[in-house]
Amino acid sequence: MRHLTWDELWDLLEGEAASDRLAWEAHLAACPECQVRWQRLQQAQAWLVCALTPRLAGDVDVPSPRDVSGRKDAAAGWQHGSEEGRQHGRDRVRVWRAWRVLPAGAAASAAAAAFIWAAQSGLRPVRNDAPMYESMSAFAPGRAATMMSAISPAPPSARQGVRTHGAVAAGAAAAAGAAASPGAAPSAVPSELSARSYGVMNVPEADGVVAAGAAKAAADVSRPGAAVQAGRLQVRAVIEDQNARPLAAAHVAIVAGGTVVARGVTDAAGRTQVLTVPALPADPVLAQSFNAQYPPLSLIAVVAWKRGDGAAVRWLHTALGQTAALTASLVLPRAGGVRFVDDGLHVLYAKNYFDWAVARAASGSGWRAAAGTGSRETAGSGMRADAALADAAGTTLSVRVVDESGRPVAHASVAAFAGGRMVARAASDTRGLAAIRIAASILDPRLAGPAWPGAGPRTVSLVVFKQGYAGWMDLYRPVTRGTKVAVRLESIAWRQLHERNHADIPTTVATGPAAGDVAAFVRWAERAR
Amino acid sequence: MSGEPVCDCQHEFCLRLGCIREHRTMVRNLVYHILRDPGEVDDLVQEVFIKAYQAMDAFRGGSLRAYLGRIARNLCYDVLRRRRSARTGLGQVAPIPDELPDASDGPEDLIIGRETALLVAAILDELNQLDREILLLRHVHQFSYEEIAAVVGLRPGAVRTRISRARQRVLAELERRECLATPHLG
Repeated sequence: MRHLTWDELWDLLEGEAASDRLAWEAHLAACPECQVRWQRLQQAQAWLVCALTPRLAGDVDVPSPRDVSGRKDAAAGWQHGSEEGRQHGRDRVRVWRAWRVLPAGAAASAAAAAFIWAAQSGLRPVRNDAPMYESMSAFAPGRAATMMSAISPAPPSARQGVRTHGAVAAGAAAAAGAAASPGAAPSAVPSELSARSYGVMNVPEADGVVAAGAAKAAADVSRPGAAVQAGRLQVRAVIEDQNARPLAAAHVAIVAGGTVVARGVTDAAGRTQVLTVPALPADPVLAQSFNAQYPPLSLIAVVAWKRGDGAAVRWLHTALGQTAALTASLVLPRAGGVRFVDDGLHVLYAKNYFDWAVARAASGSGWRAAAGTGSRETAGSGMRADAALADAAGTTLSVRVVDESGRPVAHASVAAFAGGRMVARAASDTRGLAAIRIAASILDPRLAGPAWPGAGPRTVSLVVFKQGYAGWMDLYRPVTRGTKVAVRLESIAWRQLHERNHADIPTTVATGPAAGDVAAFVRWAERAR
Repeated sequence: MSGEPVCDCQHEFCLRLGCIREHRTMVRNLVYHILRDPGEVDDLVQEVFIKAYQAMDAFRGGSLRAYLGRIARNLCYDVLRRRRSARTGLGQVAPIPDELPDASDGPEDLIIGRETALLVAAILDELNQLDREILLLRHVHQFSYEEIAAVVGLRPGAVRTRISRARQRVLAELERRECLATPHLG
């Protein structure tokens, strides 16, 4: 059979050409020459996506139709001389009245009015959200020391931790009791939702939980062959509002490994105390994919929110096994808005992964996967074309968002992160359903780690937000074709009945392989394959 | 129409067509790749959505994101025409390499693809503007050929041809400069 053309390979990569697909796949699996071109094409695709994805400032606010219709109504009212229209316009967007009543020729006045409107309505360009990635001390100890001294010598918060599953049962019991009492609105926790998927991590407890986590990580590190490393991360968050003013009393949580590992509240200068992550959980896939020359990274998320303002999530990667000091700058959007920012390290990942994979393949040696309880030798090396093909068309993730009573939640923002950046975003419909497509063109080295023959399993991080509800985050969500995710988005009103002090803290879950638990990941991957 | 709100806005546009805010990343990228001026991107993006809301009656169905892309592209070219210096924006180097950490900071340059990132950006800069737009829509935002055709005003067949040629050129340049390693399959 003739070799596949480049166009056919591109079609294959993009999931086109359904009629010839099987034949092409069969040829590709058997033809070494086409396999080489296939891998070159994948590399080119990765670089293209990286180069075509600009590292612009943080998210941009899009005016809501309501704002715009207000502008239109106000304009129509004045133009048509209708008192009703004028009143309608005034009621809806008062500030636009001045903007629209001015004659078109008065450019200077119009500009001033537009400025006022922009300042009041929030319909303005977001200021340049400078990258937060200040320093990675794992690679530059001297600079790290400077950073460390620059942030603060203040000790980390003494009260940080996570709520354990026991609290879930208590919450469920409380909810059930409340439901049984007259006039009680909230219902009990649905029985089909396990404690693990419920996973509210919003009550500070004694440091024992964190200490236990640190001890476990340390044990993991000392275990022969384990790829998990302990690290120590210190983060100071700086929170501002849309007008670049420091935002006091904003809540900040650091999420790693599916749990909230540190929390803080901003002071009058919009700064939190230095938040310390005692044992930095490893990304289990990254830990398998990187070697001593290319240190493994860990993924954490800095979440900030304040009642009356929006929420913001900043994702960052840092090296394991080293101490790092970072300053995370976040700008909270308007109420109801959610801003997602990433540190853009996907570019590094792409280069790193390909260098590594090619080097491994060139050496001709197999990959030894450390599974904690032992190790196994995987036949072959590098990527395997047939398995890579399985992911060529991308993956669609079906997300169903329900509230505490199991009712669908519409218009929730669902975002997926992979490879250190947001790769897809959708909104739930009136049935609470949202489809997230993880495109084949999105390169995530974790999706094709050389630890796994072929493409291997993929994991993404999911974030769900909606105004009036506590956010929901899952850092490690295994994704296979047809994966369905049930998201329980609890309303703040419901939470206030049960979690009076921390009603709006995001729910965090770790449905996939637990962070740092390489053995569990290996088991999961073998099942998924 | 079910009568149920499709988004929080409860606006006629969203009720009829779906919330266009879901497409802002695409619009933003497209605007950036045409204007090449990060300082103007957000202004233009907002203008795109305002235009879309105001002209919703002109939307005749089909792909909403292609409709938005078309508006974005038209607005950008209006801006470029007003500037009378469209070419000045096209010769700039893409900003991706500038966002990478400085390799001089230490041994982290081992894992930095700065040179390759620069090279790919330079190769893309050598393509013409239309090809860059098409590659962006296809590779980053997974537009179909028909959607791209609706955005750029070409026939789907012509879009496919342009994409094929642009890809080949990028591949050839990457291979010529030995950026694509030859894997040894086991």
